[in-house]
Amino acid sequence: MATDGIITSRKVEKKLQVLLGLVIAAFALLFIRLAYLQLVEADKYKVMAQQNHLRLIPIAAPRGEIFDRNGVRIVGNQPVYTISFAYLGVEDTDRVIARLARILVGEKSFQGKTAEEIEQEIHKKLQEQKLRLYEPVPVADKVSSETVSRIEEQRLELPGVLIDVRPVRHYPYGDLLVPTLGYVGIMDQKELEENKDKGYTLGDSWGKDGLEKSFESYLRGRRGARQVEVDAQGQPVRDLGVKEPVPGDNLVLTVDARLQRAVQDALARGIARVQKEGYSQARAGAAVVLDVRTGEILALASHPTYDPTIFTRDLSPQEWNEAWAKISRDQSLLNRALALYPPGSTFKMVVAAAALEMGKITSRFSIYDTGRYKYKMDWKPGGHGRVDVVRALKVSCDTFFWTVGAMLGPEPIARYAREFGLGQKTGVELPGEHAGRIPGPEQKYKLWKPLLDNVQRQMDEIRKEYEKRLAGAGEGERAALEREMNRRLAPLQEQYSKIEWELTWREYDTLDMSIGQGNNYYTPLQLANYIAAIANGGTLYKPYLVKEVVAPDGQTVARFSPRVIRRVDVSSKTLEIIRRGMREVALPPDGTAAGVFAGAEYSVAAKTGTAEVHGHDNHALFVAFAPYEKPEVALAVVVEYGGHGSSAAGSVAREILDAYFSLKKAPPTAGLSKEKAAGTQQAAPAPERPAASSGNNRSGRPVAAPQAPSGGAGRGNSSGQPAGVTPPAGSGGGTPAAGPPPNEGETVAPPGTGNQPPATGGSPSPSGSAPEASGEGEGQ
Amino acid sequence: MIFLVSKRFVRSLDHTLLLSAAALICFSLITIGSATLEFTDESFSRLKDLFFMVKLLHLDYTYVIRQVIWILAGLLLMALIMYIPYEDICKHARALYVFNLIMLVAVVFLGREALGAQRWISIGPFTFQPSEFAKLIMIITLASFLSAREGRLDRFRDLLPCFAYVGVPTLLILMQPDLGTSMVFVAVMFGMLYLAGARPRLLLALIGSGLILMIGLFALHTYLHKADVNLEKQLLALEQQKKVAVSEKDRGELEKKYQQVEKDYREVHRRHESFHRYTLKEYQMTRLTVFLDPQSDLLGAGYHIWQSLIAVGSGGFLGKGLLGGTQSHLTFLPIRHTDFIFSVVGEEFGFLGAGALLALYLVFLYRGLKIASQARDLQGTLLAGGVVCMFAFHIFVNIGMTIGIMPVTGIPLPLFSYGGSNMVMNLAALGLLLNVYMRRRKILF
Repeated sequence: MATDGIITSRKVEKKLQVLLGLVIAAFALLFIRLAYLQLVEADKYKVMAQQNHLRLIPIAAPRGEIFDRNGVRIVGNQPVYTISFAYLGVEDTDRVIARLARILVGEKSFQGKTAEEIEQEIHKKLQEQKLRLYEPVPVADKVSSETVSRIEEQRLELPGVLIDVRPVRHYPYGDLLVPTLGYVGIMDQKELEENKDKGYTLGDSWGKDGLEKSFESYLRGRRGARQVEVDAQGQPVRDLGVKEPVPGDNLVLTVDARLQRAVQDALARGIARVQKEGYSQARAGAAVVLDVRTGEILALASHPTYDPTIFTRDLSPQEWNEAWAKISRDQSLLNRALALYPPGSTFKMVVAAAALEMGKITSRFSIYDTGRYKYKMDWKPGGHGRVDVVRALKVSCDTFFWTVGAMLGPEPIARYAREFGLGQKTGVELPGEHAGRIPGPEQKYKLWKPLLDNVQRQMDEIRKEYEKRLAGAGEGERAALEREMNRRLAPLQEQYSKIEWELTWREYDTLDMSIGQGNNYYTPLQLANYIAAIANGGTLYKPYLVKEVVAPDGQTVARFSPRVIRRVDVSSKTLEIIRRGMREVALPPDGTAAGVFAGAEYSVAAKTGTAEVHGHDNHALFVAFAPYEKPEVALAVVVEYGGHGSSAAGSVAREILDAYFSLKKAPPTAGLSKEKAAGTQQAAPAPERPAASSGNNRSGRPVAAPQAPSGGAGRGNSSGQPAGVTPPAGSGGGTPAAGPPPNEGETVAPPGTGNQPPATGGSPSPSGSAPEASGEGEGQ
Repeated sequence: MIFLVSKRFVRSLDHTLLLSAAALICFSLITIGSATLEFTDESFSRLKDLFFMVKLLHLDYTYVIRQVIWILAGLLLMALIMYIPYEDICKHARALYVFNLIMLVAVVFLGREALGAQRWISIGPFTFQPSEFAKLIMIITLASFLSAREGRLDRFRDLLPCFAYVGVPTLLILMQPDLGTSMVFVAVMFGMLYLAGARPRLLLALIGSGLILMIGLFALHTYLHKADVNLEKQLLALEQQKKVAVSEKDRGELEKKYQQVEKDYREVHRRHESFHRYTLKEYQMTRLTVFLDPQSDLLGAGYHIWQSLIAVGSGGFLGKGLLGGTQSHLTFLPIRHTDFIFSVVGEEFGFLGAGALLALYLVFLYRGLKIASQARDLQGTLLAGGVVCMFAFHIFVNIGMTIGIMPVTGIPLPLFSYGGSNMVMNLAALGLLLNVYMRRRKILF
């Protein structure tokens, strides 16, 4: 029995040893795995643990602010709230999201959505970021302060919900200096790709247009960050440290906010007035005021403006669409001070300068004007009688300049236009500036050649088509087909010969050019700068907007001083004669702007311009400098489709100069009212849109999207239009900058030739989107 | 009569076993106190730099105190079990077996539901988990059952009654459903059969075929699941195509194809459904397999394992120190004081602490096996062996789960996890071990 027991126990002993072996093996497995996790892979898991509980929260740097020359803040910053949500890792998630959704109902970015729909939207956003556990997902942007306080109240029931504050642009004076300021928006994917090495990340904002874009590198600042320890609910448990953001540098402009306000208001009033007088198409315009002694831009206005807060406010999709429709209709993102207009008679000083300098005429040279030059008729029936150069400027005598222009030919005129900076970019610190266009034989050929090619191509196509059909046709059909082909070719052939005629520079082109019509296109800024050079005795300054870049601590980062582009190669004697002529313009009895400046306390020199636009009212232009004896400012005013230069644009110029001289004595904020609504609504009643005829069909007008405003915006749909047979109905002829800028090696979309064959003996009719002023020059 | 703490009694105990158990319990109390402390504001971060002993004062004692009460209750039960010679306990095996069944049936009908399973029964203010006690009762009853069949366990046919004997309570637990605990039953049964003299090859063959069956089951499920999901996707795609179809002819063809795929889908889906009806539910399947790739579902089934891995791994060699665990105190780690308590140890005490814990368990189990070998009869050996098997299985599966080599089954860490029923049962089991030890075979030379 005993032995038996011992044997049994020995057997059991062995089995227990096997069990012990198993246990040791199992433990060895645990040990090895533990060592692998905690010794070999420890670093990897340490990083993951940190990612779990340490959150680096970026702090957006406040963007630099923008001040006028007197220190008035034109653009500031204001806080905006964003709601984000971090995944909880607990069953609560759904409940919290449901609660959050209920709070967010009625929030503008979720307008019209029920709590359930918002809930689903949040869930979707969470799913998209599934793998980055605990990283907060932005749920709602620009939420109202009421919503923020409701979330704050329910903080405890809303674990994982985070409120972020970031600064956005604030405009104390409404639309002041819009659109020159530009605007700030979130970078799109492409912009981000291109600027990755500059430290931008997804969701960053940057300047998309205007000064905001040009001075982005100064304005943006450097973002900071806060390191926070959070729990699994994403609630911050403690702050681990803050790296303060560095605010962007501030800009100090050359612009005087008071004058800018006065200019914008004057322009708006002027346009409203012109409309009332029956020029229903007058809706837009531009005005530039320069300091002739430095090239500083004192005011730069483009009308209509837009409400800059639409890019910063919390808009419902519907409100946004409305605002956007309005911007697209007005094309108010377009800075018209940098857009192209035919100069009309304001160009005559160039011709005068060329003629005097080339020795073609002297100041004593005169003609007797009977009211016509060859086949061209002066704007004044019966003519002006005997005119010399000064009087020719005073009464804007077309006959005189036709005579002189014919003596000169296109090349000298173009040379002096270039001398005054026309047809060249001024180099102002704004994106989307156009060079403009000086006409000439080569330029004319380039304009018409593609059109000719197009007609040729159409004819070839028709021929080819019938060739095929003829090959397969029987004897009987052949004659009929040939007739059909010829019938279709006939109008094209007619077009072809007309265009072919237009390829060559003709005398009437020189005549048109001499009075600022034809293919002259310049920006209001160029015009103002050209007048400034005349006024200051021949120094062409580079116009500039930013005087100084100042760091937030007050230190100057960069200072911009006047820069001379060139000394204009025109003798001071010639300039003196021109100035006298311009002075005469503002003097009675028959100066074309005498009425405008009646009673002015200062002496003005000016020139009116009325640029004829085919199928539309004329553009009204006005350039001036003052005081005559010791010039301080030069200005250029354009009212699109404004009728007559003196009445429409001249009265605006008068108001501007009145404001300039009275403000010289006023305090730096005179006339400025804070929180002004968008000027388009306040300063001028929004113009009634004319009935569905021409005005509606501004097909060639640039439709600038906020993602790609101005700059290359000019393409519109013109390039997509099949040139030739039908020109875009209604045509936006004469609209500034409507066509692609013609100078940069680009081919201008050709004028339509199908229904509107160019009138022989005249200039090409305007159509399509190539801005063309009719050659029937009219100046006053 | 009450053996107050007499010298003789103290000397008759297995000191190594008791000391390792005591050390484990102390370790567990500190860990529970730390695990249940949640950091909610900045003040907590200062605790990290305190002296260790001072830190102990800052633990969360709510759960610790409750656990101490359970330990006291457990010690009482342990003393009771030690007092009655194990042969006498085994005499009531039949009654215990019946009591066990009644308890488990009661759970099915009266049980309180929590976390998707019925495991608790309330008596007055107390709730307890019968399946915990079922384990111990099963060990006792099976020991008596097997010792009566000593030497008659060679053939497969002989094992069938044993399977039936264990099978009934196991099935009842499986119905709760509590897969983990039923696995404990199976593991313990095989261990005890082996000790009782069943042919090792036969047992191995059974375990092997069981494993193969399981793997086959999972493979089959994966196959069915994938086919089901694939067909469903195809159906959706076809439906889309049908909507945008241009010509009548295309639509007709698509419709035909759709009908066919739908027929296949219905068939496959039906099979998939019926598979789940007779075996495990979809979510159980996912839970059991997700440990192989926790990253596949970080926000769902894989979340626990992933956070536990991060906790253990980030502990490194020395650990983050008591109250220094970010995974624990910032509540990333779920059910920290019960099933995943080992992750807290791993995070705060590092490889050193976790290794020490494993060593303590190894000593404990080694002593347990020693007791089994010193038992004066087979019944004693079976009792001690069964208890050791149970402990070993628990430890391996629980720790394996926290470090990602075992599926998540909800088995607590013995003598360590917070939980009343479990602690009381563990101490009772310890009492059973000591019972066998005190009445061991005296070696006379």
